[in-house]
Amino acid sequence: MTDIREYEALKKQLQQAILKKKTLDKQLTNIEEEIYARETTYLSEPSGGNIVRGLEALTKGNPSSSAGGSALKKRPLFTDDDRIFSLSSHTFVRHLQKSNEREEEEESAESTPATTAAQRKRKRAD
Amino acid sequence: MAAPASAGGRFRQRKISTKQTLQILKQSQISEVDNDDLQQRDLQEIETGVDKNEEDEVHLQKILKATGLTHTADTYIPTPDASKEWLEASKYYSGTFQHPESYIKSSCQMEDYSGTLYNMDEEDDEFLKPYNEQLAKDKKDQLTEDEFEIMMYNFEKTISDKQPFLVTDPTHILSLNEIKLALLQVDRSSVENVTQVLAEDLNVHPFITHFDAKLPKKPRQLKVLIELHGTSVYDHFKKRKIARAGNNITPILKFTGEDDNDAYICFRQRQFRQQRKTRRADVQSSEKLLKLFRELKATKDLNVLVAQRELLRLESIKTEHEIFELRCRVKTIKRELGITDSDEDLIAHKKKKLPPPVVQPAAAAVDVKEEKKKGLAKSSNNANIDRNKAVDGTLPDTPQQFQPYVKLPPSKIPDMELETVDRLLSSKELSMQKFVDEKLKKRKLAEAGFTNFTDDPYNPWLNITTPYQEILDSSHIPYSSIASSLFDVESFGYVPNAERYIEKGIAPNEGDVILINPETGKISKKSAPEKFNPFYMESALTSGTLMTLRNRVGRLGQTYIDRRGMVKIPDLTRDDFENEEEWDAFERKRDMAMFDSETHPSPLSEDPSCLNNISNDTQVIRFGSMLVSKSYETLRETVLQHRQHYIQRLRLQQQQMQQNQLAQQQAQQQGQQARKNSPLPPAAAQSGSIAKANA
Repeated sequence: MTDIREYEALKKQLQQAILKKKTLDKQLTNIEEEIYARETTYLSEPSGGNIVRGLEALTKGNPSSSAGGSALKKRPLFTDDDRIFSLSSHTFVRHLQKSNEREEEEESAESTPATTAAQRKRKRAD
Repeated sequence: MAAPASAGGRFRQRKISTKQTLQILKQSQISEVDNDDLQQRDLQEIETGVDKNEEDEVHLQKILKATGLTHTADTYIPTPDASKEWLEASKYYSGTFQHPESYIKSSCQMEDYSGTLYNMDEEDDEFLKPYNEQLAKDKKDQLTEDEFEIMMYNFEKTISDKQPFLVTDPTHILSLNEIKLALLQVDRSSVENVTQVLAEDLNVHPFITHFDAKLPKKPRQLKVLIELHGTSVYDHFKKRKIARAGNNITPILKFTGEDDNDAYICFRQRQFRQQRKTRRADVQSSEKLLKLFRELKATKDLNVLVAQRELLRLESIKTEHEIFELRCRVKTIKRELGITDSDEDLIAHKKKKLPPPVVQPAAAAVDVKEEKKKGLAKSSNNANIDRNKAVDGTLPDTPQQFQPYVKLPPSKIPDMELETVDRLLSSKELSMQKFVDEKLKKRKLAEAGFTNFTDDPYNPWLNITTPYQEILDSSHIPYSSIASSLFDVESFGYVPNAERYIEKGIAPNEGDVILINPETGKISKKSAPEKFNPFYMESALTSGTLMTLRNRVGRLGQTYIDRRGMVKIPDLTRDDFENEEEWDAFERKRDMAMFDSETHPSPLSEDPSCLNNISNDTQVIRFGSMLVSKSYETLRETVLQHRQHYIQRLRLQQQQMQQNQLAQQQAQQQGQQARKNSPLPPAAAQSGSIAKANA
């Protein structure tokens, strides 16, 4: 006969597991965000290429010459395709999408009072 | 190794200088010269290809001395004996290698594949076999060969680090307890310990990658092994080390000639000496290496982070699984016990939160679509208002054609924000509104204290045109200073009851006249507005000056101030006066106020610069250019004069020459005649010579 005590213990266990899961998920998003930030700084660093695009610029002659030098000094442009570290996590892709949506919503919320203000002004001018 | 007798007196080739005394040897003295010394000289001419301090080597010296004297067959370079043949080789190496279809690719070094760098030999086997038998008797775990090799390798490494000069006295080898700490310390920078370091950093035990060979049994960790078998294996190691006289148990190849006592060092393999590179290149390559290092470090850090992330994910998935199982169990127990808690919804509620919102991206897309549609609708409204703009005219009918909805994968959605047409238009309108507001404000500030009675005060008061019809060639207008200074006022703004106001000083509507005292800020209603009759003249001089003054010093230092434009002389004619005297007086008075140019209104008398509307600002330049032209003229004149003078002088000279020639001819003729007539005509001859000298 399973008794209530066992049930209570199980329930407690379950609650703890849920809590653990929550903290884990939080840690996960934190580390994902850290990866994203560090990746951004890494990819935008002006050096002869990076691990994603290749480091061929370093093998080319002296950096003061036009070809190699410009490649070493120029700030590289990168796309989302280059984000092999952060976007290799599907949960982070979703996280990014969500935050983007939130921003959009905020912007649309901001834009409405602006238009009303403009309308008010127009009325005053009339 | 004995040094040659004459090692001290090394002969060095030098340039013969005049300052140094040189020994002169006669034939009789030659036998006295030290034979060795001579030989030494000969020897040095041979390029040995050996370091200077190694040239003393006995065998080398022998060979060098013998060159030319004996046959080279007697002398030899000593080499370690490598002539033995290992007959059993075929017994052990019997396998046949099959070439794969593709190339063998490898980015690892040989050492990475061979596992532990220590290899057991027969002596080790003799130790390990009875040791394992003993273990089996005691029913303990066997010490595998791999584990034994791991231990031996680590002992060897630690001892060579701690006691590099063990060769001098092998019996002083440290005990196990003394090296234990160093033994278990992990060198994080070493390549060998990559897996160990990663395992510690990521907290993954055991750390196995796809590249690791699948061993039937993983060797235990060094720490465990030393605890279990350390003392006995170390004893064996110590014995072997002492037997090897402190050298490595496995002999290693000699690469560098660091050991001066090594007999073979003189004949070691020489490395090609690298050409000295310039400093600049050195700096560059070191910079590049630094950059590469930073690159790789950043990548490594990122990779470690990713690995941590994945580990966290693994744990979170495991926890989720655990939660699921727990829930199942809780449910079954609940059913069995018939508990109807309100707690149940806690579980269900949390469960609801957990499923990933797969639907969301699609929903978001729909939202975007709707938004776009809204934007288009708004823009179409604007288009209806502004029919002139044909741009948006067709938009409301076929919006799908203009912006077909393409579903992008979430990773490819561009970061940039799309602006709606609506927002663009509204911002444009806003900026326009702002501009107009600002203009109005400025206008009000400028007109403080004045009242404008015109119909629409904010439009230009005068319509000004340039009289194009008077200009024959209008294509020059944009570049012409004359044309731009000519204005015609076409019309004024309409002023209701303006005449009444101007004539009588009464405002058209009494309430309109408001004068604000700028100091007190009070409004004084009754005021006498300034009168200005814009109809007085047919055309207004809008760009001219109001009045001109001239300070003039007359006789006896008397100063006059000539005014212009301040006093208005009534434009009267002879008919306005009754008698001649009054008209005369008026005319005199008027003449006094006039400038000279005005009394003679012929345009020819005016200053040409004024005629061309050239401003007075260029006075300096004009004066300067005048000076230059003047000086040029004087220069030219003087040059011309000089030339004329020169030509005249030339002419004079020519004339003189001709005259002289004539004189000579005459003199000669005279002389001839004189010789014929009289013996000496000194005067004539003299005069001729003088003329010649003059010429």
